[in-house]
Amino acid sequence: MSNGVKRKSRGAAIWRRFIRNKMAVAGLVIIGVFVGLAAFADVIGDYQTKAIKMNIKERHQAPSVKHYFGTDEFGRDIFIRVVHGTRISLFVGIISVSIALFFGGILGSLAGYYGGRVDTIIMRFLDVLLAIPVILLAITIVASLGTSIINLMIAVGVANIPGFARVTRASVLTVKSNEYIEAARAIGSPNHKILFNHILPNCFAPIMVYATLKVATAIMATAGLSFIGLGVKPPTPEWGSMLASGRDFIRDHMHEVFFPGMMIMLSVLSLNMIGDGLRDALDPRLK
Amino acid sequence: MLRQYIFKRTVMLLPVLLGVTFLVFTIISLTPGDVATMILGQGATAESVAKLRHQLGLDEPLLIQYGRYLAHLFQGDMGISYATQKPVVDEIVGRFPNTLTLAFYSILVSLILSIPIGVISAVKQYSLFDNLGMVFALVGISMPSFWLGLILIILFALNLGWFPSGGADQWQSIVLPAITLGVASTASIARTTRSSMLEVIRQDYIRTAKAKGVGNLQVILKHALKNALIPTLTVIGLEFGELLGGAILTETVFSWPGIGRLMVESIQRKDTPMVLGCIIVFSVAFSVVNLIVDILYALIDPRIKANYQRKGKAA
Repeated sequence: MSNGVKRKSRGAAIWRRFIRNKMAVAGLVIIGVFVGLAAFADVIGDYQTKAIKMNIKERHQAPSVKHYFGTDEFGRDIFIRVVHGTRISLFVGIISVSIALFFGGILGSLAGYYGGRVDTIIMRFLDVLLAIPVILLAITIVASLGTSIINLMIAVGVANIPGFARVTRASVLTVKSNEYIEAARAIGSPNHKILFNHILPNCFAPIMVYATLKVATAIMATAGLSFIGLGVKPPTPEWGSMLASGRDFIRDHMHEVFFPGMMIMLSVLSLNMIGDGLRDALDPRLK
Repeated sequence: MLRQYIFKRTVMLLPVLLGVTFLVFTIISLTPGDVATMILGQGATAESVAKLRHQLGLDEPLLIQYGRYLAHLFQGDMGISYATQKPVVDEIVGRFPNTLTLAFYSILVSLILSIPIGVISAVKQYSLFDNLGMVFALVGISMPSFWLGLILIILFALNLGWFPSGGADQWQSIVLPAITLGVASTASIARTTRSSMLEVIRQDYIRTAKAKGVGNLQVILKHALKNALIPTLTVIGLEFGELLGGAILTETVFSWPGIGRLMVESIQRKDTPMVLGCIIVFSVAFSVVNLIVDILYALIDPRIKANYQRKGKAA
């Protein structure tokens, strides 16, 4: 019981520090709007008839009251397309980070908790993965598996596993050296119980901060891969692939690249602001 | 002592590189679809497909194929491009300097901007300059380079006509790609410089220097900056790796003839040997840069050197 009360008050303290940070709150508001757009995308404009169906008569129109962000080379409303794109980007970002979090978390906790040979084997393997830049690893996987949304999530997810493993390992190592872990071991708690009940809950904070920042880079990587033709293919309204098709018309119709890029930047920016805010709120000493 | 350290680190790099080539080779080999059929076209007879498969060594186990690739790699042979029928190495050697040039100028751009921003932000903490600088850094980190590149093309190439929008035929061609690629690293180097500078200027020896009557500017440049730059150096190394990755996108935006663009084109053409070659060159470059950073780190930070010397004596 007393444990519950303590945790609640600690959470409240973190929340108070977080809410005082103007940047973090701004990030939360922006991402809230994005989540709202993703949730109500079909209400804002129907996917099949507004975001996909071509309307050649209205192609390349500048932003207006009728089409807030103008239209593209097939006369499709760019505002409705970027709104539907929000769904794809948030979805791919969250799923790929979950993949990385799951596998990286397992590898990192095993390496950190058991140490010794387990640690050496896992870390040598991760050293190899870490020797390849994330985006390059993602490109390699997509190039091999072929381009589709699912392969994209796998690629971005797998490419981020080493990072998550490293962060998890580092925090497991820190928590492991606490006296209460020694106490748990002394009273004969089994390994899995110590790891899952005592160590991992206390690693939550740094991993959460890392995950928030990584959703941002995953969204950026997804858009980047689609931009070079290795991600989501047209006519799916993904931001990066919209940028790629708008690129051919930048001379006369710059709105076709401006708005999709703006969406990428705002979503990445807001997640970065939240991540920074969380980090400062969870550990005020770091500021 | 230091020579030993350098030797040890270099030797440690070899298994990693071996692992990288094996991993990349395996992933690329998993590509569905038969290469021989693809080269000969759908109309080819089963016989000729089998013959080509045998010629390319595709009918052998993966490990044997990898062993052969590695043996050739050590002799500087990365195979023949499916698309051009020319040696992969020749193409990569021709293009790699362009990627290095781009990465070099990008890091130059970001150093010129980021270190002054980081230092001034730290010295004038919470001032307007600091706030603006850090907002700029946050936006810079969040800016997709391929989008920034397009915006710069619209502004400076199409509207103002100051710089070309692509290619690499004149010296002005490097300006926009270098800025595009350099912005993200500018932001993170500025942030690191600021926070390590903040830590250093609060330390006792800085107060001592000031108390002795050393001028403000001299304290910052001579006493504080030297120590504050140690973490910055690590970030520069990490950023250089990011730059190599980012070059893939930037080269595509600006039609810059480096290996990033070569790789993207080769993936689209399903030119497996070329893709493999590009990825391996990228990863080796990335690892070598990290090695150089580690060595520089030991050279600059006397604590690391001392630590190593102690260990060396103990052994």
